[in-house]
Amino acid sequence: MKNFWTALSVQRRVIFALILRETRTRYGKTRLGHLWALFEPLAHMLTFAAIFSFMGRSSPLGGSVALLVLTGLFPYALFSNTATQLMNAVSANRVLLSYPHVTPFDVMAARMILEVLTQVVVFTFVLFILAVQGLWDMRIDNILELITVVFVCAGLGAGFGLINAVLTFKFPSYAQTFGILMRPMYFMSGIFFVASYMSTSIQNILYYNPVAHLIEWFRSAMYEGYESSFLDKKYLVTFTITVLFFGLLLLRLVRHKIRQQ
Amino acid sequence: MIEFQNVSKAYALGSGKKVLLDNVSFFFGEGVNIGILGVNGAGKSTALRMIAGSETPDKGKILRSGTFSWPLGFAAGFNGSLSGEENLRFICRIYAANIAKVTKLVADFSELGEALYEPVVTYSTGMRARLAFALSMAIEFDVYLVDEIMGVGDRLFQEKCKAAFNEKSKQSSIIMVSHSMNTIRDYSDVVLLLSNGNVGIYEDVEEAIAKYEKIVV
Repeated sequence: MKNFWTALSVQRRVIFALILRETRTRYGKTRLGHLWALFEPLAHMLTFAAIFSFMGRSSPLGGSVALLVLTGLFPYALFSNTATQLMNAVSANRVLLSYPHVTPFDVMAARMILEVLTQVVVFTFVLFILAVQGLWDMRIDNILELITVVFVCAGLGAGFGLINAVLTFKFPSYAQTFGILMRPMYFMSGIFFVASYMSTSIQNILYYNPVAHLIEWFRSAMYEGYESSFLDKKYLVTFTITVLFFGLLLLRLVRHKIRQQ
Repeated sequence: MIEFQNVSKAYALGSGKKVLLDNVSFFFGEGVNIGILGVNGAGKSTALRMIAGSETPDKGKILRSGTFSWPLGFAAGFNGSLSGEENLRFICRIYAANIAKVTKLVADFSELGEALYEPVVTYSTGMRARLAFALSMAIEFDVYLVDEIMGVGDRLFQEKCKAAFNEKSKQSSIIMVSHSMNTIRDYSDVVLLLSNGNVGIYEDVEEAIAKYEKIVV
Protein backbone atom coordinates (compact mmCIF):
# COMPACT_ATOMS: atom_id res chain seq x y z
CA MET A 1 0.00 0.00 0.00
CA LYS A 2 2.90 2.33 0.79
CA ASN A 3 4.28 1.76 -2.71
CA PHE A 4 0.97 2.71 -4.19
CA TRP A 5 0.91 6.09 -2.41
CA THR A 6 4.54 6.80 -3.30
CA ALA A 7 3.79 6.02 -6.94
CA LEU A 8 0.75 8.27 -6.82
CA SER A 9 2.70 11.18 -5.36
CA VAL A 10 5.43 10.74 -8.00
CA GLN A 11 2.78 10.76 -10.71
CA ARG A 12 1.15 13.88 -9.30
CA ARG A 13 4.53 15.62 -9.26
CA VAL A 14 5.34 14.54 -12.82
CA ILE A 15 1.99 15.66 -14.22
CA PHE A 16 2.28 19.03 -12.49
CA ALA A 17 5.83 19.52 -13.84
CA LEU A 18 4.66 18.54 -17.32
CA ILE A 19 1.78 21.05 -17.22
CA LEU A 20 4.15 23.89 -16.30
CA ARG A 21 6.60 22.83 -18.97
CA GLU A 22 3.89 22.46 -21.59
CA THR A 23 2.57 25.94 -20.81
CA ARG A 24 6.03 27.30 -21.43
CA THR A 25 6.62 25.48 -24.70
CA ARG A 26 3.16 26.12 -26.07
CA TYR A 27 2.57 29.75 -25.26
CA GLY A 28 6.18 30.79 -25.14
CA LYS A 29 7.75 33.07 -22.62
CA THR A 30 6.01 36.26 -23.65
CA ARG A 31 2.68 37.53 -22.43
CA LEU A 32 1.76 37.91 -26.07
CA GLY A 33 1.75 34.13 -26.38
CA HIS A 34 -0.86 33.79 -23.65
CA LEU A 35 -2.84 36.61 -25.19
CA TRP A 36 -2.85 34.83 -28.53
CA ALA A 37 -4.48 31.81 -26.90
CA LEU A 38 -7.37 34.08 -25.91
CA PHE A 39 -7.46 36.04 -29.14
CA GLU A 40 -7.71 33.11 -31.52
CA PRO A 41 -11.10 31.71 -30.42
CA LEU A 42 -12.41 35.22 -29.90
CA ALA A 43 -11.60 36.14 -33.50
CA HIS A 44 -13.06 32.83 -34.65
CA MET A 45 -16.34 33.49 -32.91
CA LEU A 46 -16.62 37.15 -33.76
CA THR A 47 -16.13 36.34 -37.46
CA PHE A 48 -19.07 33.96 -37.43
CA ALA A 49 -21.20 36.25 -35.34
CA ALA A 50 -20.50 39.02 -37.86
CA ILE A 51 -21.31 36.82 -40.88
CA PHE A 52 -24.53 35.62 -39.27
CA SER A 53 -25.79 39.04 -38.29
CA PHE A 54 -24.87 40.25 -41.78
CA MET A 55 -27.04 37.48 -43.22
CA GLY A 56 -29.78 38.67 -40.91
CA ARG A 57 -29.96 35.37 -39.04
CA SER A 58 -31.06 35.31 -35.47
CA SER A 59 -30.52 32.70 -32.78
CA PRO A 60 -33.34 30.13 -32.66
CA LEU A 61 -32.75 29.88 -28.91
CA GLY A 62 -33.22 33.58 -28.33
CA GLY A 63 -30.40 35.85 -27.24
CA SER A 64 -27.51 36.80 -29.46
CA VAL A 65 -26.02 34.89 -32.39
CA ALA A 66 -22.63 35.33 -30.74
CA LEU A 67 -23.82 33.39 -27.70
CA LEU A 68 -25.18 30.61 -29.92
CA VAL A 69 -21.86 30.29 -31.74
CA LEU A 70 -19.89 30.42 -28.49
CA THR A 71 -21.96 27.68 -26.83
CA GLY A 72 -21.36 25.53 -29.90
CA LEU A 73 -17.70 26.31 -30.43
CA PHE A 74 -16.60 25.78 -26.84
CA PRO A 75 -17.67 22.12 -26.43
CA TYR A 76 -16.49 21.38 -29.97
CA ALA A 77 -13.07 22.98 -29.44
CA LEU A 78 -12.60 21.32 -26.07
CA PHE A 79 -13.36 17.92 -27.59
CA SER A 80 -11.36 18.26 -30.79
CA ASN A 81 -8.34 20.01 -29.26
CA THR A 82 -8.07 17.40 -26.53
CA ALA A 83 -8.21 14.62 -29.12
CA THR A 84 -5.50 16.27 -31.25
CA GLN A 85 -3.29 17.28 -28.32
CA LEU A 86 -3.28 13.77 -26.91
CA MET A 87 -2.60 12.29 -30.33
CA ASN A 88 0.65 14.27 -30.56
CA ALA A 89 1.55 14.17 -26.86
CA VAL A 90 4.00 11.28 -27.07
CA SER A 91 5.87 12.40 -30.19
CA ALA A 92 6.20 15.92 -28.81
CA ASN A 93 7.57 14.70 -25.49
CA ARG A 94 9.68 11.77 -26.65
CA VAL A 95 12.88 13.00 -24.96
CA LEU A 96 11.11 13.10 -21.62
CA LEU A 97 10.28 9.42 -21.70
CA SER A 98 13.95 8.70 -20.99
CA TYR A 99 13.19 9.75 -17.42
CA PRO A 100 11.87 6.62 -15.74
CA HIS A 101 9.26 8.63 -13.81
CA VAL A 102 7.61 10.01 -16.92
CA THR A 103 5.12 7.68 -18.62
CA PRO A 104 3.14 8.08 -21.87
CA PHE A 105 0.01 8.29 -19.73
CA ASP A 106 1.46 11.22 -17.76
CA VAL A 107 2.23 13.33 -20.82
CA MET A 108 -1.32 12.77 -22.08
CA ALA A 109 -2.92 13.51 -18.72
CA ALA A 110 -0.92 16.74 -18.47
CA ARG A 111 -2.04 17.83 -21.92
CA MET A 112 -5.66 17.06 -21.15
CA ILE A 113 -5.64 19.09 -17.93
CA LEU A 114 -3.92 22.01 -19.65
CA GLU A 115 -6.42 21.89 -22.51
CA VAL A 116 -9.41 21.96 -20.15
CA LEU A 117 -7.92 24.86 -18.17
CA THR A 118 -7.09 26.82 -21.32
CA GLN A 119 -10.50 26.32 -22.91
CA VAL A 120 -12.39 27.16 -19.71
CA VAL A 121 -10.38 30.37 -19.27
CA VAL A 122 -10.99 31.31 -22.90
CA PHE A 123 -14.71 30.56 -22.62
CA THR A 124 -15.05 32.63 -19.46
CA PHE A 125 -13.11 35.47 -21.06
CA VAL A 126 -15.25 35.50 -24.22
CA LEU A 127 -18.43 35.22 -22.12
CA PHE A 128 -17.28 38.25 -20.16
CA ILE A 129 -16.78 40.20 -23.39
CA LEU A 130 -20.27 39.23 -24.54
CA ALA A 131 -21.72 40.42 -21.24
CA VAL A 132 -19.94 43.76 -21.58
CA GLN A 133 -21.29 44.09 -25.12
CA GLY A 134 -24.79 43.25 -23.94
CA LEU A 135 -24.80 40.03 -26.00
CA TRP A 136 -25.28 37.80 -22.96
CA ASP A 137 -27.80 38.42 -20.17
CA MET A 138 -25.40 36.94 -17.56
CA ARG A 139 -27.69 34.04 -16.76
CA ILE A 140 -26.76 30.40 -16.69
CA ASP A 141 -29.54 27.86 -16.38
CA ASN A 142 -27.64 25.19 -14.46
CA ILE A 143 -23.98 25.75 -13.64
CA LEU A 144 -23.41 22.28 -12.14
CA GLU A 145 -24.67 20.68 -15.30
CA LEU A 146 -22.50 23.01 -17.35
CA ILE A 147 -19.43 21.83 -15.42
CA THR A 148 -20.50 18.23 -15.91
CA VAL A 149 -20.61 18.74 -19.67
CA VAL A 150 -17.09 20.20 -19.57
CA PHE A 151 -15.88 16.94 -18.04
CA VAL A 152 -17.78 14.85 -20.56
CA CYS A 153 -16.24 16.90 -23.41
CA ALA A 154 -12.75 16.35 -21.99
CA GLY A 155 -13.49 12.66 -21.43
CA LEU A 156 -14.71 12.09 -24.97
CA GLY A 157 -11.75 14.07 -26.36
CA ALA A 158 -9.35 12.09 -24.18
CA GLY A 159 -10.86 8.78 -25.31
CA PHE A 160 -10.40 9.66 -28.97
CA GLY A 161 -7.00 11.18 -28.15
CA LEU A 162 -5.78 7.93 -26.55
CA ILE A 163 -6.96 5.88 -29.52
CA ASN A 164 -5.42 8.44 -31.89
CA ALA A 165 -2.11 8.31 -30.03
CA VAL A 166 -1.90 4.53 -30.33
CA LEU A 167 -2.97 4.56 -34.00
CA THR A 168 -0.41 7.29 -34.78
CA PHE A 169 2.25 5.21 -33.06
CA LYS A 170 1.38 2.18 -35.19
CA PHE A 171 0.62 4.06 -38.42
CA PRO A 172 2.33 7.47 -38.48
CA SER A 173 0.25 8.75 -41.42
CA TYR A 174 -2.92 8.41 -39.34
CA ALA A 175 -2.34 11.86 -37.80
CA GLN A 176 -3.31 13.56 -41.08
CA THR A 177 -6.21 11.18 -41.58
CA PHE A 178 -7.75 12.22 -38.29
CA GLY A 179 -7.50 15.88 -39.29
CA ILE A 180 -9.37 15.14 -42.52
CA LEU A 181 -12.00 13.05 -40.73
CA MET A 182 -12.60 15.86 -38.25
CA ARG A 183 -13.20 18.52 -40.87
CA PRO A 184 -16.83 17.63 -41.72
CA MET A 185 -17.49 17.26 -37.99
CA TYR A 186 -17.09 20.99 -37.71
CA PHE A 187 -20.21 21.47 -39.80
CA MET A 188 -22.11 18.40 -38.62
CA SER A 189 -22.09 18.95 -34.87
CA GLY A 190 -24.51 21.82 -34.55
CA ILE A 191 -22.16 24.70 -33.88
CA PHE A 192 -23.99 26.90 -36.37
CA PHE A 193 -27.46 25.41 -36.00
CA VAL A 194 -29.54 23.79 -33.28
CA ALA A 195 -29.84 20.03 -33.72
CA SER A 196 -33.25 19.71 -32.08
CA TYR A 197 -34.75 22.22 -34.57
CA MET A 198 -33.67 20.17 -37.59
CA SER A 199 -36.00 17.90 -39.54
CA THR A 200 -36.43 14.34 -38.29
CA SER A 201 -34.49 12.85 -41.19
CA ILE A 202 -31.48 15.07 -40.46
CA GLN A 203 -31.78 14.41 -36.72
CA ASN A 204 -31.70 10.67 -37.40
CA ILE A 205 -28.28 11.05 -39.01
CA LEU A 206 -26.98 13.60 -36.49
CA TYR A 207 -27.98 11.28 -33.67
CA TYR A 208 -24.89 9.10 -34.14
CA ASN A 209 -22.54 12.06 -33.76
CA PRO A 210 -21.65 12.28 -30.05
CA VAL A 211 -20.36 15.84 -30.47
CA ALA A 212 -23.84 17.00 -31.52
CA HIS A 213 -25.09 15.65 -28.18
CA LEU A 214 -22.28 17.43 -26.33
CA ILE A 215 -23.27 20.75 -27.83
CA GLU A 216 -26.99 20.19 -27.22
CA TRP A 217 -26.32 19.27 -23.60
CA PHE A 218 -24.11 22.29 -23.13
CA ARG A 219 -26.78 24.59 -24.55
CA SER A 220 -29.51 23.00 -22.42
CA ALA A 221 -27.42 23.78 -19.35
CA MET A 222 -26.66 27.30 -20.53
CA TYR A 223 -30.00 28.57 -21.84
CA GLU A 224 -32.87 29.04 -19.43
CA GLY A 225 -36.03 27.37 -20.60
CA TYR A 226 -34.34 25.31 -23.31
CA GLU A 227 -34.59 21.54 -22.97
CA SER A 228 -33.27 19.73 -26.03
CA SER A 229 -35.55 17.06 -27.48
CA PHE A 230 -32.61 15.74 -29.47
CA LEU A 231 -30.23 15.16 -26.56
CA ASP A 232 -29.66 11.57 -25.40
CA LYS A 233 -27.44 11.75 -22.32
CA LYS A 234 -27.37 8.01 -21.87
CA TYR A 235 -26.07 7.47 -25.39
CA LEU A 236 -23.41 10.16 -24.97
CA VAL A 237 -22.16 8.96 -21.60
CA THR A 238 -22.10 5.31 -22.71
CA PHE A 239 -20.22 6.33 -25.86
CA THR A 240 -17.70 8.37 -23.84
CA ILE A 241 -17.01 5.64 -21.32
CA THR A 242 -16.61 3.03 -24.07
CA VAL A 243 -14.15 5.18 -26.02
CA LEU A 244 -12.17 6.01 -22.88
CA PHE A 245 -12.03 2.38 -21.89
CA PHE A 246 -10.79 1.31 -25.33
CA GLY A 247 -8.27 4.13 -25.40
CA LEU A 248 -6.79 3.16 -22.04
CA LEU A 249 -6.77 -0.50 -23.02
CA LEU A 250 -4.92 0.21 -26.29
CA LEU A 251 -2.39 2.39 -24.47
CA ARG A 252 -1.80 -0.37 -21.96
CA LEU A 253 -1.06 -2.81 -24.76
CA VAL A 254 1.60 -0.64 -26.41
CA ARG A 255 2.98 1.50 -23.58
CA HIS A 256 6.22 -0.48 -23.26
CA LYS A 257 6.76 -0.40 -27.02
CA ILE A 258 6.21 3.37 -27.04
CA ARG A 259 9.06 3.81 -24.57
CA GLN A 260 11.53 1.69 -26.51
CA GLN A 261 11.65 3.86 -29.57
CA MET B 1 19.61 -2.82 -4.08
CA ILE B 2 18.94 -4.18 -7.53
CA GLU B 3 17.64 -7.60 -8.44
CA PHE B 4 16.89 -9.21 -11.80
CA GLN B 5 14.65 -12.26 -11.63
CA ASN B 6 14.68 -14.37 -14.82
CA VAL B 7 14.74 -11.31 -17.01
CA SER B 8 14.52 -11.68 -20.78
CA LYS B 9 14.61 -8.89 -23.33
CA ALA B 10 14.68 -8.94 -27.11
CA TYR B 11 14.35 -6.36 -29.84
CA ALA B 12 12.55 -6.79 -33.13
CA LEU B 13 15.23 -6.28 -35.73
CA GLY B 14 14.16 -6.22 -39.36
CA SER B 15 13.13 -9.76 -40.12
CA GLY B 16 14.33 -11.42 -36.96
CA LYS B 17 14.73 -10.83 -33.30
CA LYS B 18 17.82 -9.83 -31.40
CA VAL B 19 18.02 -11.36 -27.95
CA LEU B 20 19.77 -9.04 -25.52
CA LEU B 21 19.09 -10.79 -22.25
CA ASP B 22 18.05 -14.40 -22.00
CA ASN B 23 16.69 -15.46 -18.62
CA VAL B 24 19.14 -13.40 -16.57
CA SER B 25 19.10 -13.30 -12.77
CA PHE B 26 21.34 -11.45 -10.34
CA PHE B 27 21.21 -9.62 -7.04
CA PHE B 28 23.40 -6.81 -5.70
CA GLY B 29 22.92 -5.22 -2.33
CA GLU B 30 23.41 -1.60 -1.35
CA GLY B 31 26.68 0.16 -2.07
CA VAL B 32 27.96 -2.18 -4.78
CA ASN B 33 29.43 -0.35 -7.78
CA ILE B 34 28.74 -2.19 -10.99
CA GLY B 35 30.48 -1.83 -14.34
CA ILE B 36 28.75 -3.11 -17.46
CA LEU B 37 30.89 -4.33 -20.35
CA GLY B 38 29.95 -5.67 -23.75
CA VAL B 39 30.54 -5.12 -27.45
CA ASN B 40 28.44 -2.59 -29.33
CA GLY B 41 24.87 -3.77 -29.61
CA ALA B 42 25.20 -6.29 -26.79
CA GLY B 43 22.49 -4.41 -24.88
CA LYS B 44 24.47 -2.45 -22.30
CA SER B 45 22.42 0.72 -22.61
CA THR B 46 19.18 -1.26 -22.67
CA ALA B 47 20.24 -3.06 -19.51
CA LEU B 48 20.96 0.29 -17.89
CA ARG B 49 17.59 1.67 -18.94
CA MET B 50 15.94 -1.42 -17.52
CA ILE B 51 17.76 -0.92 -14.22
CA ALA B 52 16.51 2.67 -14.24
CA GLY B 53 12.97 1.58 -15.02
CA SER B 54 12.71 3.46 -18.33
CA GLU B 55 12.25 0.13 -20.07
CA THR B 56 10.48 -2.98 -18.95
CA PRO B 57 11.60 -6.58 -19.47
CA ASP B 58 9.71 -8.84 -21.89
CA LYS B 59 9.72 -11.52 -19.22
CA GLY B 60 10.79 -11.65 -15.59
CA LYS B 61 10.91 -9.09 -12.84
CA ILE B 62 13.20 -6.28 -11.77
CA LEU B 63 13.21 -5.23 -8.11
CA ARG B 64 15.00 -2.20 -6.76
CA SER B 65 15.13 -0.26 -3.52
CA GLY B 66 16.53 3.21 -2.98
CA THR B 67 16.44 6.11 -5.41
CA PHE B 68 17.91 5.64 -8.88
CA SER B 69 19.00 8.41 -11.22
CA TRP B 70 17.89 8.51 -14.83
CA PRO B 71 20.48 6.97 -17.18
CA LEU B 72 22.99 9.74 -17.51
CA GLY B 73 24.28 10.09 -21.00
CA PHE B 74 24.90 12.52 -23.80
CA ALA B 75 21.37 12.14 -25.10
CA ALA B 76 19.93 13.79 -22.02
CA GLY B 77 16.25 14.63 -22.12
CA PHE B 78 16.46 18.34 -22.70
CA ASN B 79 13.92 20.40 -24.58
CA GLY B 80 15.86 22.52 -27.05
CA SER B 81 13.48 25.48 -27.08
CA LEU B 82 13.63 25.86 -23.30
CA SER B 83 16.64 27.26 -21.49
CA GLY B 84 19.00 25.14 -19.44
CA GLU B 85 17.50 26.60 -16.32
CA GLU B 86 13.93 25.76 -17.39
CA ASN B 87 14.95 22.21 -18.17
CA LEU B 88 16.56 22.07 -14.75
CA ARG B 89 13.34 23.18 -13.10
CA PHE B 90 11.43 20.39 -14.77
CA ILE B 91 13.87 17.73 -13.61
CA CYS B 92 13.90 19.15 -10.08
CA ARG B 93 10.12 19.00 -10.02
CA ILE B 94 9.87 15.39 -11.09
CA TYR B 95 12.53 14.35 -8.56
CA ALA B 96 11.19 16.64 -5.80
CA ALA B 97 14.55 18.42 -5.51
CA ASN B 98 14.99 21.97 -4.25
CA ILE B 99 15.10 24.20 -7.36
CA ALA B 100 17.09 27.09 -5.84
CA LYS B 101 19.70 24.78 -4.36
CA VAL B 102 20.11 22.74 -7.54
CA THR B 103 20.30 25.88 -9.72
CA LYS B 104 23.15 27.21 -7.61
CA LEU B 105 25.05 23.91 -7.67
CA VAL B 106 24.58 23.53 -11.43
CA ALA B 107 25.62 27.13 -12.14
CA ASP B 108 28.80 26.64 -10.11
CA PHE B 109 29.67 23.26 -11.49
CA SER B 110 28.74 23.54 -15.15
CA GLU B 111 30.53 26.88 -15.72
CA LEU B 112 27.82 27.75 -18.24
CA GLY B 113 27.45 31.28 -16.91
CA GLU B 114 24.77 33.29 -18.69
CA ALA B 115 24.27 30.47 -21.19
CA LEU B 116 22.29 28.65 -18.51
CA TYR B 117 19.44 31.04 -19.31
CA GLU B 118 19.69 30.58 -23.08
CA PRO B 119 17.75 27.93 -25.05
CA VAL B 120 19.45 24.55 -25.04
CA VAL B 121 19.45 24.45 -28.89
CA THR B 122 22.17 27.09 -28.83
CA TYR B 123 24.46 24.83 -26.75
CA SER B 124 27.40 22.90 -28.12
CA THR B 125 27.57 19.15 -27.42
CA GLY B 126 30.11 19.85 -24.71
CA MET B 127 27.86 22.42 -23.03
CA ARG B 128 24.90 20.05 -23.09
CA ALA B 129 26.97 17.31 -21.53
CA ARG B 130 28.25 19.69 -18.86
CA LEU B 131 24.71 20.68 -18.00
CA ALA B 132 23.60 17.04 -17.88
CA PHE B 133 26.50 16.02 -15.71
CA ALA B 134 26.19 18.99 -13.33
CA LEU B 135 22.46 18.43 -13.01
CA SER B 136 22.76 14.79 -12.13
CA MET B 137 25.45 15.51 -9.57
CA ALA B 138 23.30 18.22 -7.99
CA ILE B 139 20.40 15.89 -7.27
CA GLU B 140 20.92 13.28 -4.57
CA PHE B 141 20.42 9.67 -5.55
CA ASP B 142 21.32 6.39 -3.86
CA VAL B 143 22.41 4.95 -7.19
CA TYR B 144 23.81 6.87 -10.15
CA LEU B 145 23.37 5.29 -13.56
CA VAL B 146 26.00 6.42 -16.01
CA ASP B 147 26.08 5.71 -19.72
CA GLU B 148 29.46 6.68 -21.18
CA ILE B 149 29.40 10.19 -19.86
CA MET B 150 32.90 10.32 -18.39
CA GLY B 151 35.29 12.29 -20.52
CA VAL B 152 33.06 15.27 -21.10
CA GLY B 153 34.63 18.55 -22.15
CA ASP B 154 38.27 19.55 -21.72
CA ARG B 155 40.86 18.08 -19.40
CA LEU B 156 40.11 20.51 -16.60
CA PHE B 157 36.43 19.75 -16.61
CA GLN B 158 37.18 16.03 -16.71
CA GLU B 159 39.26 16.38 -13.56
CA LYS B 160 36.35 18.18 -11.95
CA CYS B 161 33.92 15.45 -12.96
CA LYS B 162 36.21 12.83 -11.55
CA ALA B 163 36.49 14.66 -8.25
CA ALA B 164 32.72 15.10 -8.02
CA PHE B 165 32.24 11.46 -8.88
CA ASN B 166 34.70 10.29 -6.26
CA GLU B 167 32.90 12.42 -3.71
CA LYS B 168 29.55 10.91 -4.72
CA SER B 169 30.80 7.36 -4.59
CA LYS B 170 31.39 7.76 -0.85
CA GLN B 171 27.65 7.78 -0.08
CA SER B 172 26.11 6.55 -3.30
CA SER B 173 26.80 3.68 -5.59
CA ILE B 174 27.39 3.78 -9.31
CA ILE B 175 26.26 1.54 -12.12
CA MET B 176 28.05 2.41 -15.32
CA VAL B 177 28.45 1.48 -18.94
CA SER B 178 31.82 2.35 -20.37
CA HIS B 179 34.23 1.45 -23.13
CA SER B 180 37.11 2.78 -21.12
CA MET B 181 38.76 0.00 -19.15
CA ASN B 182 40.40 2.52 -16.85
CA THR B 183 37.04 3.99 -15.87
CA ILE B 184 35.69 0.51 -15.21
CA ARG B 185 38.76 -0.28 -13.10
CA ASP B 186 38.41 2.95 -11.12
CA TYR B 187 34.77 2.65 -10.21
CA SER B 188 33.58 -0.95 -10.33
CA ASP B 189 33.48 -3.55 -7.58
CA VAL B 190 31.73 -6.02 -9.85
CA VAL B 191 31.56 -6.35 -13.61
CA LEU B 192 28.67 -7.62 -15.69
CA LEU B 193 29.86 -8.86 -19.06
CA LEU B 194 27.10 -9.01 -21.66
CA SER B 195 27.45 -11.29 -24.66
CA ASN B 196 24.87 -13.08 -26.78
CA GLY B 197 22.07 -12.74 -24.26
CA ASN B 198 24.10 -14.07 -21.37
CA VAL B 199 25.48 -12.12 -18.45
CA GLY B 200 28.74 -13.09 -16.81
CA ILE B 201 29.22 -11.79 -13.29
CA TYR B 202 32.83 -11.13 -12.26
CA GLU B 203 33.88 -10.15 -8.76
CA ASP B 204 37.40 -9.83 -10.12
CA VAL B 205 37.41 -6.78 -12.39
CA GLU B 206 40.70 -7.71 -14.09
CA GLU B 207 39.36 -11.12 -15.01
CA ALA B 208 36.30 -9.49 -16.61
CA ILE B 209 38.46 -7.08 -18.57
CA ALA B 210 40.68 -9.89 -19.83
CA LYS B 211 37.62 -11.85 -20.91
CA TYR B 212 36.10 -8.79 -22.60
CA GLU B 213 39.30 -8.06 -24.52
CA LYS B 214 39.27 -11.63 -25.77
CA ILE B 215 35.75 -11.15 -27.18
CA VAL B 216 36.59 -7.84 -28.79
CA VAL B 217 39.60 -9.11 -30.76
